[in-house]
Amino acid sequence: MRTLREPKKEALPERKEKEAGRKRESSGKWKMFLPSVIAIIILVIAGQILANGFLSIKNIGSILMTASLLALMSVAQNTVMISGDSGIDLSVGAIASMTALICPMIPMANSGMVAAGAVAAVMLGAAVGLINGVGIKLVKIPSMIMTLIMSSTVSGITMVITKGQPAAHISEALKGISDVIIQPIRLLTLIVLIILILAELVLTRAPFGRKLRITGDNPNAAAICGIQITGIGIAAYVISGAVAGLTGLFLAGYAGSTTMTMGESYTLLSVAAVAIGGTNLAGGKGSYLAGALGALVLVILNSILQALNMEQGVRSVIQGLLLVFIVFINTKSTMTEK
Amino acid sequence: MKTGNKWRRITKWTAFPALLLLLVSLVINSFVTNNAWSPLILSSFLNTNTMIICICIGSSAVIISGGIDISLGSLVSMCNVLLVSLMMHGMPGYMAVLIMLAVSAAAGAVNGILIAFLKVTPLLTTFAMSTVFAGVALIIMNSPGGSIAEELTDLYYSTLAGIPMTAFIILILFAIWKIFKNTPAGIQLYAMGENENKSYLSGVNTKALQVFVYSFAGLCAGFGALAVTCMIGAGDPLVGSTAGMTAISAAVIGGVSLAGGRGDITGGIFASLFLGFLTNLIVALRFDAYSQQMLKAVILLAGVVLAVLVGRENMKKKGGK
Repeated sequence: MRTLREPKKEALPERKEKEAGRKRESSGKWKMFLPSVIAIIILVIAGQILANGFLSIKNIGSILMTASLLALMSVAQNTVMISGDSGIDLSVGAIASMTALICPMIPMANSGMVAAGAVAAVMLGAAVGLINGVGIKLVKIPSMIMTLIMSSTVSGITMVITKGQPAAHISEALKGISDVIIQPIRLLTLIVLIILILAELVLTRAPFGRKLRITGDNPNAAAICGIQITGIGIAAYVISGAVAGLTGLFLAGYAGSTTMTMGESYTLLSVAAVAIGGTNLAGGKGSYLAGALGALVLVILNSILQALNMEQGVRSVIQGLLLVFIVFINTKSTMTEK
Repeated sequence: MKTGNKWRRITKWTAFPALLLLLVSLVINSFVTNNAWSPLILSSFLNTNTMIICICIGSSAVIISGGIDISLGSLVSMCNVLLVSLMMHGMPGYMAVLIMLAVSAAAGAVNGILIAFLKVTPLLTTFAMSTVFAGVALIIMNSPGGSIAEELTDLYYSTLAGIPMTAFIILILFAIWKIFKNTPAGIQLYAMGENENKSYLSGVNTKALQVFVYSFAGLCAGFGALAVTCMIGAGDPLVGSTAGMTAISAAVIGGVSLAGGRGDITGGIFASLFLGFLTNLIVALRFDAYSQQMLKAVILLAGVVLAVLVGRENMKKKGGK
């Protein structure tokens, strides 16, 4: 009897473990979305109670529009953060300002030219990202310092090129990204949604995404597995720069006008969005969708505070305190998971 | 042989790259500007850069402990408008200064408590807190304005035994740090920067140390605010907004490793002075206004590359021993 039973006993826990592992993986993903989803629900209810017409189609559309820009920026920041090594890209805002100011110099009369402008924006951003990546991965300058200085350099270059006077004209074709597709989804929101889904698929399914995550999680193990960790690391910064460049062009189209520092506030907001989305700042783990949800949280919060006609100072205090709270909750939930 | 050893010890010093940069910029500066060595110009140079030096001392201390504080810039803004508005309400100068310094240390302590007890990442905590500080600054005073008692400004610009008063502000912070560094707690701070878990396991009270070091950084920001208030003689809710990041760059050029546990504030002070001379130099060379920022950033980048390369070279030598 015993000899018959024993192999069964051994086989069972193994299978259970595998199933549990699979379950843990999928539930871990949901846990990542959970804090931001709860925050969004609470904020939307609070917004509807506090501000009249908060849930009007028009307001939802404009919230989604603003959130799309930040969500796209969070893709840039997220890529660098997932790549690990305490990676952070503080130059995304300056890159966005640069493309927002320089790319409209290309006459974008029709959608074909807008596409050309987008390619130019991506190339410009990628070039800055490449310098970032080389400085950080080959010269081994801490990412925070390197990207901070690059941010200053990029703003300086923008200043030299524009002579302090932003291009006055944003073409109608570029402004077209605010066109409504189906209420409340506008063109930009749709574009960003597609980019987000593609990026998430690459991160979870494609070889590059897997390599990126492994490198972020454990660079030594990744190197032993034959992954070019330096190359992957540099690629993360190039992608970040490219996406930030694209965001800048969209930002110019959305705002309809440009100022010298229009992208600046996006730098730290993108870090906050990614952190709310649950990406571990130490790298290796993260989700673009969760980062986008984090962006949505921040934008809804800001929209409520603006609707309440609060002074900028009070708004900023409330934002900061809530941010501490959300990040604290996030830290707690990832700690218990461990 | 002996001089060779000494030379090697100097080049191995973490602050060496910053010292080198400072000397080079000093030499170039003395060719470019007239009377570069006159006491008046030197002391006015020190006056303009005291704020950055103070914040840099705080940033360096935090980074050495293994954390980071990006809220110090907005804390300076907050303390600046607080000091001005206290004095505008008729409070005597010394009281206002004491209250402001207490508030700055308390604000730093809040950072420390959040990081030590709630275990939130320093970068995010101080980012969120910098939003809070900037908000409070705007609530206290939403546009630049106000004025302070003239006695305070006069005192700031005066000299004691030929040494400008500003040097004493820096000296106070420098002395606090140097004394602290040589106590057991100071050694534990470096150990904590190297590896927080290990130092916790070997009985270091990491939480108390963290709260202490962030409070110290807050206090440094308070002194920085005092300096900048005396210099501009008014309140400005955005006065420190970019200073926090500049101070962190200065700390890194000064040989403080962002990984924690390595470096000293001396290098940060050299690097802050270097950045000051750099600004002077670019203005003195009359580059057109549009290219100034780019030039400064590129030179800064070159400085950081130098600092990192020299630092790595030294690490290799240490490892080989």
